[in-house]
Amino acid sequence: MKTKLLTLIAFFLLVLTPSLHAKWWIFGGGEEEVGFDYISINALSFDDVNKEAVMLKESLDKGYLHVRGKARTGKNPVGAITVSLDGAKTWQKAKFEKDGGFDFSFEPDLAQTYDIYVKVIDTAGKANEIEDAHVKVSFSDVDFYTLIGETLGKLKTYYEQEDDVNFMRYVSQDFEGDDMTLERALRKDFSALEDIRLDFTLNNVAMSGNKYYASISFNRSVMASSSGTSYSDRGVTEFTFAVGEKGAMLLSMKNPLIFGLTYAADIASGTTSSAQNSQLYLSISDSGSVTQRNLAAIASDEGSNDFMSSGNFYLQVSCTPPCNTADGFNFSNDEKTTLISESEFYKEGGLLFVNAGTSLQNLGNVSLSGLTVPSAGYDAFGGISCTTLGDVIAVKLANNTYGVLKVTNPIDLGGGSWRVYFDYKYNPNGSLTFP
Amino acid sequence: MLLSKRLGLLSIVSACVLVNTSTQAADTFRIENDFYIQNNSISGPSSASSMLTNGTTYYNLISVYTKGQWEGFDYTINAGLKLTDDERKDLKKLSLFTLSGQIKGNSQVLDLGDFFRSYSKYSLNTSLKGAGYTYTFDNGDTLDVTYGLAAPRWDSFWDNEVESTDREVYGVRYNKKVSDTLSIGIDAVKTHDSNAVVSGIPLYDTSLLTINSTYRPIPGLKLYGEFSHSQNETDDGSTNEKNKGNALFLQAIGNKNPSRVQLEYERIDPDFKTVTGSATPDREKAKATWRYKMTPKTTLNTGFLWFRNNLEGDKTETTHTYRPNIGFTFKDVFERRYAVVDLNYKLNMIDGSAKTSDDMFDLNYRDRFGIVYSDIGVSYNLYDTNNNQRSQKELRFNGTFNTRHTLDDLVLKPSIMLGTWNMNDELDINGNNTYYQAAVGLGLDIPSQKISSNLRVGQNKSTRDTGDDLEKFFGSLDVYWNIGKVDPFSRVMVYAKAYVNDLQYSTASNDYQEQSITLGFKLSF
Repeated sequence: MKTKLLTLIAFFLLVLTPSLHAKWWIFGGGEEEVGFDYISINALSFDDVNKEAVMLKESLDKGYLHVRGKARTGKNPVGAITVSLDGAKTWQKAKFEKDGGFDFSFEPDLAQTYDIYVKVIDTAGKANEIEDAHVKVSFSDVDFYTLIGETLGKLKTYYEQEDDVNFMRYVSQDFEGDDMTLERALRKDFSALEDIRLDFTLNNVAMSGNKYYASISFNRSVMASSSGTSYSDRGVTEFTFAVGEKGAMLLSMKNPLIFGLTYAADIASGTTSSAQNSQLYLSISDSGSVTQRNLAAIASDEGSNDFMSSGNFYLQVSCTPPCNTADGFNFSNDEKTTLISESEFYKEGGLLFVNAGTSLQNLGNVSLSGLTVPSAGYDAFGGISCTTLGDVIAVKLANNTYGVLKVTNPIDLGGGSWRVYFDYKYNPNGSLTFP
Repeated sequence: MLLSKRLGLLSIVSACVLVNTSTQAADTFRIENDFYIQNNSISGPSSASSMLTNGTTYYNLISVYTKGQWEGFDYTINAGLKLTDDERKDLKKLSLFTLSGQIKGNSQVLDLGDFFRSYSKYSLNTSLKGAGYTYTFDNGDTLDVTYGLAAPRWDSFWDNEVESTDREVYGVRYNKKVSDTLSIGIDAVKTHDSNAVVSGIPLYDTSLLTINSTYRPIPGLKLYGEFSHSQNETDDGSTNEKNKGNALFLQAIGNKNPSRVQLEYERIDPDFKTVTGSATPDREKAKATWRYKMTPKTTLNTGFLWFRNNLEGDKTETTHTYRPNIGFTFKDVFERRYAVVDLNYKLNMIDGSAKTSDDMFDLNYRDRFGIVYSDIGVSYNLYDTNNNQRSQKELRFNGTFNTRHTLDDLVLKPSIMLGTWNMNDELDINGNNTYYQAAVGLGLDIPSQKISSNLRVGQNKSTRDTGDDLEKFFGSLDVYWNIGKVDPFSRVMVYAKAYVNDLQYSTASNDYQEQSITLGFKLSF
């Protein structure tokens, strides 16, 4: 895997080197450069938006927008500071102080978009690069809870349509769960799920400065791509948004997540502890397995690095106690055993027996795909027959994890001796569902 | 104890709202009402699988916004009520979905009810129900004092059916403006949880002391640093554990044409805990992103994220995660004015007890051919997880083609959407799965009457090696009429929505059908 990383870095350098020009590395301007320390429009900093922002009419100060900031001109004093509202076509003078502080206020027409540039010129005629002091501002004609509802509606639609490209356009570059993790989680969600259906209503909204908050109630149903199993859950969760080019940009999400389930523990900023939340929530492992887990397990990342194991084996050698040697199996180590003491369960003739802590239950002839096993009703003694083709035997281990065995080929060797072939699946994370 | 605080809190907020509204005429007073009635009909052997409520339900949001002046202070008030009899939308027939007020003077701001407080990344960055007061000194320093309860809804306070864990939050912050380019903030935040309502989610008591600083040494460069110390107590119902830990975050953002560079480093101790900020414990992380405008028509976007756990070596294994990506956006491709190509590669690599290596390739092409606008996306993904978990190839295609024609007063917007993906796993676990979708749409607008509508019908089909196959037919029609000003309302909009879904599985007992009709209006006055 490391080779892949190194190859990527080498490719990156190879592609870029010929195309770079002298300014590729620029990381801020120089000490003597003419520019701005900061610029803001009302409470919105130019630094916090990606060249574009949709503001609410509530964010106006008595109907006015104030473009304010601090210019820096190196050795020479500030000569003039001008502001353009029309994409650098026309310029208007701003009031400024000797120290570079400036103020330009205007009463915007809310139906207009303002392509704002700010220019500072020192007394020697040297000006800033205006592209560095540029933001396009427009206004939403809706109130903030309508805006949040519409933004969540778009995120929901793109998630249902499995469109991660458009979804990420509504995610803030400062997304607290890390945008690079979220975009990979979305892609893996979309591989694991289909027929995603979400419905939500707002429970609570709040706004202060450039941040919005929403609590929602949601209903969700999905189908697991690999098994065709349907899942549904419902609950209450919370989001925060920041002002940005789409009006409201997703800043954080809490568990239970409705987007980015694959890396839930990395992506969620906390957990909503509400009595309305379901017992179990949809969860997707890194390997694409879809299960349902409780909120505590999702929030703590418990078992997320444990992947469902599966495969097949056969059991033949058996003995009648007291003896030590019989074919058995150990789910925890994912291996067949030959000593009774090392197994979780073992075979005697045509029956399966267990060691302490393990219990069994015959579920009859069912499919291993999409199977959900019961959490109770297991036999702690064992003695379960394993000679009927198609039978599925559920295994509950001492640590409350579950495995399933399906009899795929029972061969009667005569004299009470059997060789039995099994397919198996094991969930180390305690899930009852086997995709 | 907490009940008295809740009542006190509500009393303060209500009193402020009443005083403001009763004593002074508002400059702005606006009421918005969004009402709809919905009739759903669900049939089929598996109708319980539907997310809809069978029968007729209503949903209504009423909100009030007012703004004015009182005793020399500016004030704003927002309040909203939600009414519905659809329990899938809300368990409560009547609920308060927002209640907030702000009183603002020259140097003072008082927030009441719902308000958002943002001190720093680790200490406080959340919405509260309570009161927050900010005073700005003449030299630019600010002092903020906050008390509130973090709850997902107002009726969590008084209704057992929708209650949540009670989380009280106390915060104070002093931000010193050392110079125009340097500021240093110190904040202290204390939280206390009670009333556990979700099994397995512990209750926390946390105390955080945080120092953070922003420095802009040269134009275009912003440096930010934050250090937080947390003392916390975790009660999981059976044990009570006390811990303490630190978190450090350093960030540099250089934004100077033609580049935007962002560098981050973060280290969070395993025992660091915040419930009002954001931090993943036991993590060391480094991140770099670079957006570079190579030419006026070509932009590079690249990034690298690495993080690891096991900072104190108490786990049996350390997991390293690497997430690099590189992408290019090309405009005016093939000298075509509307052509834009996005080309991206993302790697997702996890190196621990389980090893994952996922390669994700994306190509997106947007163009206009005569009168047809197109948006075509192709992605090819390779998912690989060791230990026989996954070895999967996935190919996705999505295409949208639409056009627009004007006939007198009518604007017609026909569209076609096509999508397919195939996922093939060399292992038996996931098998081979295929999905197709085809849909046609017709938008019909009458701009002179402010009417817009959209009709969409389609089918999707998914097949898999194991488990149920699904064939789904769907259709929807939405019509909006924005009537505008109708006395005494400043804005009136009426709308109708209808859709049908017919889901047919290979196991017939899973089939169900849905029909839904919604009629609604939005009023502002």
